[in-house]
Amino acid sequence: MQAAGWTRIGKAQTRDGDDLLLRGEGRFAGDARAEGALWLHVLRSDHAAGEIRALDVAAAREAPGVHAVYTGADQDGLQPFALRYVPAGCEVAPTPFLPLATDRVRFAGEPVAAIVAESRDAALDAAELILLDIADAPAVTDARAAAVDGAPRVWADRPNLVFTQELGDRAAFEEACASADHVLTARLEISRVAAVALEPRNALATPLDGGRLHLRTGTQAPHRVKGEVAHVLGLDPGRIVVEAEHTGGSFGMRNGAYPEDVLVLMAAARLGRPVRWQATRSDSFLSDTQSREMSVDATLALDADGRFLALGVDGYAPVGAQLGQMAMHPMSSNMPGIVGVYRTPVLHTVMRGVFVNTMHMAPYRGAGRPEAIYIMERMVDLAAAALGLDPAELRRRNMIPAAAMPYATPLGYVYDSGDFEAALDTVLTAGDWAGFADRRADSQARGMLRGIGLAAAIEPAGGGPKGAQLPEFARIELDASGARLATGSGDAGQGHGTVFRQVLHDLLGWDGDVTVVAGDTDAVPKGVGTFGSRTMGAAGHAMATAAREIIAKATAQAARHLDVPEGEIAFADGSFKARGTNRVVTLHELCTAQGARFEAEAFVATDAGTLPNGAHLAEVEVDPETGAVQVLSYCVADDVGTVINPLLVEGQVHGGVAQGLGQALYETLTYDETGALLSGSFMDYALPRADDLPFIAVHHSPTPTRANALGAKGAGESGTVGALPAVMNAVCNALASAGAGPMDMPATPARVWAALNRKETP
Amino acid sequence: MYNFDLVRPTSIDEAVAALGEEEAQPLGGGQTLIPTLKQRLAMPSKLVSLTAIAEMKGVCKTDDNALAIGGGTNHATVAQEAAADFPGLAHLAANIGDPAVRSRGTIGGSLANNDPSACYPAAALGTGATIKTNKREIAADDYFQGMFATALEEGEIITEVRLPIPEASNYQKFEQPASRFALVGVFVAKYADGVRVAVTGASNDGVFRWSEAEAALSSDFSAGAVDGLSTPDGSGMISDLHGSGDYRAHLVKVLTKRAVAAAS
Ligand SMILES: Cc1cc2nc3c(=O)[nH]c(=O)nc-3n(C[C@H](O)[C@H](O)[C@H](O)COP(=O)(O)OP(=O)(O)OC[C@H]3O[C@@H](n4cnc5c(N)ncnc54)[C@H](O)[C@@H]3O)c2cc1C
Repeated sequence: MQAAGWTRIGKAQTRDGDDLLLRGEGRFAGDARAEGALWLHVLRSDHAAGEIRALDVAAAREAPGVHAVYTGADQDGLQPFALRYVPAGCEVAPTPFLPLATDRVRFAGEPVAAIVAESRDAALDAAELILLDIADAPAVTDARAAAVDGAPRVWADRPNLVFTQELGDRAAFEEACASADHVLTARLEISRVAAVALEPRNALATPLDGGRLHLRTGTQAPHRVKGEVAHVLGLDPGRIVVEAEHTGGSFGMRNGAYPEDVLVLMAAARLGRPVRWQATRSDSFLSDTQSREMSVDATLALDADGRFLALGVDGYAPVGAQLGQMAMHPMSSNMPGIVGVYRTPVLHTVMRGVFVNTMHMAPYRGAGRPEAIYIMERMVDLAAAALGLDPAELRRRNMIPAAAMPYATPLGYVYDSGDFEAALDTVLTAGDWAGFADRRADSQARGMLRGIGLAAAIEPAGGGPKGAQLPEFARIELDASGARLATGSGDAGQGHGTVFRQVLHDLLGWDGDVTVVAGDTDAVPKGVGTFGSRTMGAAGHAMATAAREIIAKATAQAARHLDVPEGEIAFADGSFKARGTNRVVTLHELCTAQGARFEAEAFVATDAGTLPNGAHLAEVEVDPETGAVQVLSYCVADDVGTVINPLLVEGQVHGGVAQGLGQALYETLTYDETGALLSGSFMDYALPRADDLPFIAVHHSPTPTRANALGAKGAGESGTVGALPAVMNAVCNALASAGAGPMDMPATPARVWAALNRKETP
Repeated sequence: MYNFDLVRPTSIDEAVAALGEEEAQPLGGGQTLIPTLKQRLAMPSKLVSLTAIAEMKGVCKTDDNALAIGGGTNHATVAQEAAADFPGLAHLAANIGDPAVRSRGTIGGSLANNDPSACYPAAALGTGATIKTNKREIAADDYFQGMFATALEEGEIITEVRLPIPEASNYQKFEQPASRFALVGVFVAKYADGVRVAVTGASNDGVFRWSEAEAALSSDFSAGAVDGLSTPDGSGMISDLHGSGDYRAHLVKVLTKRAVAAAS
């Protein structure tokens, strides 16, 4: 569908409803009132591994105000969480993942008991009466270490190696390397990070009449949560209602059910009272899903002209202690994407998922794409340095040209559109690539090291460019009172309502009010959720499909009203016109004057996913005396396909870059040798703050896709995807100017200083 | 948080009396103590708030050219009121935490707590301050006794801190990336009779004076004088996920130089 005729799509509009959030009037799950709600406190293991020798809750059960104390022995009737994803070509048995530990604990923070009491204080007091004796056992938190024979086993009855996924043709790869002029290898370590939502997780369960249960929580995918809690509880999904109003950040971390969701529902059902759980920040660090960590050996083979011949990746990644629903996804789902925007005829990947004694993984903003692009873009910079080529030139030489679209990459992705070179040129100009040498000289004169880093990013959005897409639901209703849109894509702060209104206005030429309903599984009968930058593509496509049906129904009505055959009616800009006449009736008039009511719904999947892409350019200054890194400038040329709302796209890119830059420079989840989380609070887990960020210039560089009705590719994750490599390339470029590096993330001052002085990094 | 009683006396005498009770504890700005209580890491039966005691608040210059700061004075007030007479101290106070922390946290609370990464201990030791309590006067050199350890006795409260005003001074704080406390902080103060250099954030023994630098700077107050010194020994320095002992030792020297350059 072309942009022609759209009047609302493409306009910058501020987000509806921000005023509520700015005034502190957001309606998060923790704000929800519930008469007589009990407080559920989760007692967590402070050991990373060991047998539960004793767990005596008798005194806690008798404590004042306590209604119940549940342990692993009280989970009758519960089913283990089910896997939602298994790496292609692998067979993996689930773990018996129940909300509470049974015989052993497998990570520090694992829920051991749930205390339900009149108040938080009463629950905490009772928790202190619980006698928990864990026989300390050795733990392992590093994937490579855990994969070694003789490493402590996370599960006694199965090896730590969960899966090995090999993709591509090893022989072809080895052959390409053997005949290549240059073969570069590097070990790249990608750190483990937490999503750190502004609003910590929470859940409020309320028993409803008729044996139904209501769960109020913050989530990006209420229908998924509903399905998953119903599964674990062994209930028909029809007995569960999940409702989310405001959600303070999700990022993939809130894309499914957690043990605590099940616990409050179980308690509410058993006790007949509302039951609330609220994570503290410490709980969040211990029990929110984590992401991104991998350690890979990458190999890039090039010919004498710097043309890429083959790319190989061999890596290890932790999955956590339990196979959470998506624990195996981040490290395996996007292996084909590692070739990025380049013509690379041969790709061979081996990735291993390994049990470790920590909370499990799940996708986090980018879900395998920041990792993939990080690997490729670091290799490109290393190759440019080794071959003495300009990094921009080496990229240009290997980029898939716009004219070659659609383009099939070695492991089966098909790129449908994109002008990678145009995006590269945009940032080279905007960031004054050509003038860098002067700026570096200026820094040098002040005793500083300056570095510049490019990244060309591409990321499969939705279900990826290969294989089935997941559907999304949209239901549109129009009548005299206005328009209502119901969809399964939950909003966690993105501003869905705003863009949905823009889209509906243009699809239907509807100028009246539009009420957007989402986040409530009763009000929205079906749905899948917001993730993978897919909402504009998936929900937008469903909206367009439903809108077409509305127009067809309204055309019939308009024909009757204008007294002409249906075939004589043409619809444009919200008006039905009898051809060759000036007789017109608008959709709005049909509803208001004629009292018509239209409704249509669609639960549809697009045929293909999309490929948001773009180029990032970062410039940094490193203080060689202290190792401090400052990001001086950052610009992005972003191809999100059709830009529905440039302002919100820029906001998405800003947030995404901040999270990517945060990982590159500051964030990391660190464990000690006993498996204790060292960075378990904001005192030790460093997030980027506003004054750490430069102005991030976003240049829109759209090439709409044909994969969905709106031409939208998705904007939610691209900022993060490009930021990890752009920032690390810039840091390594600065280090190289002093003959030091390269280094792995995070480029904290101490680690940069260690790299500059060739000391062991902390 | 466990339950506790809260009293808010209006005089030092009343506060001292209230603190006589077992398990009673003074409460300054609460910026350290309240988070500790929230995590149930302390269990005082009674908190004696010092925030309503007028005689413990304010900043004034004394006849012998010192700055006298009431123990209950918050960081924001010090940042503002020390600016004219003692800019090095005002700058230190202005960079503690964030505005909310600075409008509640107090100098007395900070010195009583003696966090190894806190800023005020560097200023107190770096100026040879006198810590006045309800009972006595303690020289800074005797007051700091290791991480979180001080000369204070049970129930003793810091009522005032007197910091001799230097001819020149500067505090260089290199922030720990997460907490933004001092990963290393160096306070340099130049007096007619010599230079003092106090280091916070670095040592396993808490704030300390870098005597080699003091000697070198006392005869030549220039960044170059620090250049010639060997880096302090990193083996006794804090080593954690934010930096090794060697890194901290290195920073001590870098920051000392920078402090001298900024002060002179
Ligand atoms: C987000 C954040 C960032 C921070 N950043 C920094 C920083 O960068 N640099 C820095 O130095 N500090 C920092 N702090 C700590 C801050 O400066 C605190 O104010 C200070 O450590 C404690 O002062 P308080 O008045 O809040 O004491 P409280 O928390 O009330 O008390 C601390 C301890 O001192 C005792 N106490 C309090 N007042 C007295 C008194 N007058 N006499 C005797 N004992 C007393 C209490 O009983 C308690 O044991 C930060 C704090 C926060 C929350």
